[in-house]
Amino acid sequence: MSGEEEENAAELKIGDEFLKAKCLMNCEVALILEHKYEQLQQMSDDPTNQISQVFEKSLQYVKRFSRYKNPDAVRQVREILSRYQLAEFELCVLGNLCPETVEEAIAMVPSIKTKGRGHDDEAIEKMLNDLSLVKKFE
Amino acid sequence: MISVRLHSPESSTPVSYFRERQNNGKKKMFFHIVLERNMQLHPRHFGRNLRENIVSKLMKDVEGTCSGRHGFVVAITGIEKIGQGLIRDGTGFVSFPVKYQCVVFRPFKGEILEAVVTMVNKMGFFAEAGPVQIFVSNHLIPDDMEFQPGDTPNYTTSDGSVCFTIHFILK
Repeated sequence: MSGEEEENAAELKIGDEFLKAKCLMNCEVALILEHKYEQLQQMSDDPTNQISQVFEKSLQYVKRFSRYKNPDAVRQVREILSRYQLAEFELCVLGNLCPETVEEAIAMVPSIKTKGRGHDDEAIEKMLNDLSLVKKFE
Repeated sequence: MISVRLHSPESSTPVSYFRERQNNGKKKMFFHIVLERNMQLHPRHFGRNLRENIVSKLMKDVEGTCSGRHGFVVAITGIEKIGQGLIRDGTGFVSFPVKYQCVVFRPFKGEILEAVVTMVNKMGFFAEAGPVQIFVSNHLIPDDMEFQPGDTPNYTTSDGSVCFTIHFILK
């Protein structure tokens, strides 16, 4: 348990397991869960297939907070962000929260500014611009 | 800093969303990870449908659970591998190691996420982000924010300045 005490997302200390794991943006989770929800409904004549509360709440949540609704836009966002050598985790925070200014982005993901990562304000601004374009043309 | 002016969604006024801006705030995030679990199966489930039985039992057992290490298991998305079963001494039950992919919701310290405010009272406010309930005590709300009782209880700064990010989504 000692490892858990050290975790801090601001410094990107989230445990090896999760650093390597595939991190999902809310909009991606929405696609997955909706697909699964449809499947479950088709089988709903089987009473053992009850939809758990956690599932329902999560679905509600991601639907509410998905910035991008169509699957193509979601793919584009991931593609754009992956050009910037971000960790999976950082990529998702940015994709979820869609910061509008460089300052906002750094406040949300302090780890993008740590030295040696090569992200100056200009690069971050360009990234945010690209993101807002996707949103605009969705 | 926490965003102010929280309306309760029960009212007909705009439902407000807020972004928690504190670095030590609570946040959650979805991950797609591979987990492993030993499934104990009763011999009556053996036969042609063995695989289906294992999978449906796994879903029933695992989906919706929460652990400190992996967070909430929201949905199983695929089975990677079902290993060789091992017969347990004395019971006849067989345990199968199952590797499965699932979507988990795991909050990390220092993460930032969006939440829906569900209740505001003088003790603080409650919010929900997916399956997770969040409570922010009024001790953690900045001192210049005052609780305003009434039809739509909320926390507002005295001068109403807009130095916080407030997200209003009209529904």
